[in-house]
Amino acid sequence: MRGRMLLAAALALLSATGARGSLAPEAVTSVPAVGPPAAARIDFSSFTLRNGMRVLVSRDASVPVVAVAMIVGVGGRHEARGRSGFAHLFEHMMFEGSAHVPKGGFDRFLESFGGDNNASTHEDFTFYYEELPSNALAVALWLDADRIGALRVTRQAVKNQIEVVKEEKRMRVDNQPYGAVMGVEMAARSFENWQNAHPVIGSFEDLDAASLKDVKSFFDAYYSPDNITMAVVGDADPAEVRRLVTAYFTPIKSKPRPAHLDTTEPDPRGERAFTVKDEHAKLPALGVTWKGAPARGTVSHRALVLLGNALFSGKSSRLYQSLVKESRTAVSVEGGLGFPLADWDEYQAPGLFGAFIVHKKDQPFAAVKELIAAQTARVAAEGLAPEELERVKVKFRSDWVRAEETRLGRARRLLQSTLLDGDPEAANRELSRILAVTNEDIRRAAAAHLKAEAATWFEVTAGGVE
Amino acid sequence: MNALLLVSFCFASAARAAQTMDMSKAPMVGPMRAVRIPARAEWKLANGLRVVLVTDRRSPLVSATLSVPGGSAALPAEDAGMADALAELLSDGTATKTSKQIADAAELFGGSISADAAPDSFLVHASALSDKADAMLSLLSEVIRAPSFPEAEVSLRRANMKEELAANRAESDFLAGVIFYKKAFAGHPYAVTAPTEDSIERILRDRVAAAHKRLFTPRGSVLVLVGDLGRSGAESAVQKHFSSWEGGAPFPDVLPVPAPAAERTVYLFDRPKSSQVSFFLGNPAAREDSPVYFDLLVANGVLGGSFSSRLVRDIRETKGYTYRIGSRLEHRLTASVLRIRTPVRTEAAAAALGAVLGHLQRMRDSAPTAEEVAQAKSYLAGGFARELETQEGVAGAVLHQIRMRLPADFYDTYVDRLMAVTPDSVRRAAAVFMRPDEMTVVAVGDARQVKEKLARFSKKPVVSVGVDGD
Repeated sequence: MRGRMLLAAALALLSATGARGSLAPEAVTSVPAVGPPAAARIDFSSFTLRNGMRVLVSRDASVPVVAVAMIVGVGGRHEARGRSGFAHLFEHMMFEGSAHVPKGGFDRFLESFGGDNNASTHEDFTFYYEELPSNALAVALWLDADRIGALRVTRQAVKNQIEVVKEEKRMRVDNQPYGAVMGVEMAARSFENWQNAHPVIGSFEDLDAASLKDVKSFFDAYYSPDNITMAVVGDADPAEVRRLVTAYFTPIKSKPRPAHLDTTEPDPRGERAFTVKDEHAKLPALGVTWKGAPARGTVSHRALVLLGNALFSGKSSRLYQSLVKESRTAVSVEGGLGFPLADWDEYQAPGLFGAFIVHKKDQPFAAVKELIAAQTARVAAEGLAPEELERVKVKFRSDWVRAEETRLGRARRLLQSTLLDGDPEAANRELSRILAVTNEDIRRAAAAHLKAEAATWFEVTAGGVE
Repeated sequence: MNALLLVSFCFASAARAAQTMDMSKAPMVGPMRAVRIPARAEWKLANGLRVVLVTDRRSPLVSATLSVPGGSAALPAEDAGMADALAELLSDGTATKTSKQIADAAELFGGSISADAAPDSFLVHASALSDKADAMLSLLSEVIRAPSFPEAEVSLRRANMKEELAANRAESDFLAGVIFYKKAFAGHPYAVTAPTEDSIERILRDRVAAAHKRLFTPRGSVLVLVGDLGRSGAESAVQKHFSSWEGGAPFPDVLPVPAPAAERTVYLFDRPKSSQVSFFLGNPAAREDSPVYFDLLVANGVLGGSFSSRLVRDIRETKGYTYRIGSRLEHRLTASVLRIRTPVRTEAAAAALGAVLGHLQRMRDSAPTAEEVAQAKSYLAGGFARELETQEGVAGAVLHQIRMRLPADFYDTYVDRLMAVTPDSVRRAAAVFMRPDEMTVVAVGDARQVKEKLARFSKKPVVSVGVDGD
């Protein structure tokens, strides 16, 4: 009886906090219908703890597995000058032990249940997850509550992790062919505002200068329950999830946060070009970004998502066919909306539309550039061929559906929508809207955003030995 | 007002619950819920093709895998690599499509098509959005029945295989693996796991086409469909695309692997100046349908099957001889093997091998602790449940059960049988299937530095071998 009353109270609270999880079906049918059912919706409910932490719960008992994920509203763009790399350094610290979990214990506890975990740091957020058998849900919540509420930050651990992060930077950026161009230079030269221009991986100088006090105050400022949204997706009873999460996380107090730093970016100021020497590259390359990409939730944003795929993604794409197959000027092509910072769905404005082409030595930079400019001009004039748009949409729908096949994939989509669109329900409506993009939308978006005066070109010369 | 009261009631109970939460240790949790593979339907076409359908409507996706008996064991040793080339080339051209047109068609059904050669079968895999299942089955049927093996694609494959072989041979672990199977499966088709320069030269268009004609036949083949697809739709689509497929007799099962030498032998491939020694060692193991299989599976888990296992904790964490070490059970149709693999620092090679053999001996001599067994069991059960999260995982499990001829309820009873394992049953299985004194031991490293030190691990002299294990 008591349990039932508690549940009723829970439902009342849910509507009181304005959760969107129980949206009526008519809200869904109002979305333009395109062809067959695009994807199953992710049904979820939501509640918010007294300390401000929001929790989304989506049940799927088809296998006894549950994913627990947290999105924390802090990324590279929240770092102050002189503190570059802190958000990522902190992601590492979150695995270094907490009041009741020794160093290394986080992984070991999860593994002993056959679970898995990881984390990633982005421009606008940091993402943490555990995936494990559902009987062990409480263990994942205990581990997360202990590290959010009582992380152990020691001088030795900070020192160790600074070295680990520096090694990661050497491996992924500094010693990787094209790593520094794509991971550092392209954003640094494309953006003018330091908040957007500096890399998430940070600089050795800033990392080395990090003191224990700096790291602690970064944690206090951003790892506050009201800056975290959690998703629990899988074989878990929503009432039980609510009971456990409330019990584990309510004692953690929220803390004030510094004002959001200004990330606005001035309009593009004309076409620019830079030359970058890459010591590790064996072949020359061309990078390009177009500044001023549209914000999420707009038609032109959706149009550029599809256009990016049509131009750069897969062997059927225009530039792969034109540069690699037909003219044989290039060996690899990648790009799209968000490139090279992020995938199209994992950042907040401002973003870039970009591409990177590794080309043959005997092909001058200008010739490759000419071929790209010709393709973008053609799309701005004519849009895509009907069968090309159809193929890109089918591929997009299939990628979207596959990403939602796992509990973790659904948790990720709900959390990114919550933080970046301000509404988890965006996870359920965006696919239909992207599939409703017309050829004219694409043509118009290409004409408006892939203009010469918004482009920054990078001529990458190869300094490596063959 | 009313809502406000409810809200505060809720907070009060939450705060009460919070006070009682003990943060000082991990919460106790109950046993894992049973895992079942969704029910399947089965039928056979008149041409002998067996069809298995697992309707799984969790996602609007469908996958199809065709398993054709044969695989690399169906071709003689001098044709090593031909089975892999054949599989790769299936999607590189048909009577009506170029490789680009095949790729475009797969993109248009929202999926992919690919094939590979396993030791006992060819596996051709396709996936699609479920409303495009018909287009997927049509293309799958075309690539397995009418591949054209274009001359240009075959010669490109040969050139790529040579480059891949050269790149692989630069890796000690690759060489150790090739030599290990050559010795563990000596005298059997399973012994050959990599091509040679000579065998790649024999991969000619007409020979590939002849192998395809001989081996690809509906009789003995199984088509496994998993996904958002019902019985009647599946039946008519399969009938439409596969009923006119014709072929001869299926490739027969290979014979069981002959018993290996009963005395531990150390094989060494010399890689001068190598800073590491790559070890592969192992012995025959139990099939998955053996009554003691789950005992052995847990024994392997305790020994080296996870990060918390003895080999990782001791050889990696405590002794620091290596970054990577693990043990596993591998299964072919007529052979199973327990295999340990680790690359270690050259100076520590003998110490590391001694320590690994010591751990094997201890697994035989005494039962593991109840805690070790519990940990290995929940690790294995959890990993098993997570694998079934996706259609690909379900398809993989169903296919493995069919190809290895395991009982139909093998996966439905998996967790229960795993949970029934005890420390004593683990020791008994280890005493039979962990045989350090009879193992095939392969080392790839600098012979000048390690040959003498490895001599003490074998009564016979250390056997020097070439790049292919001969």
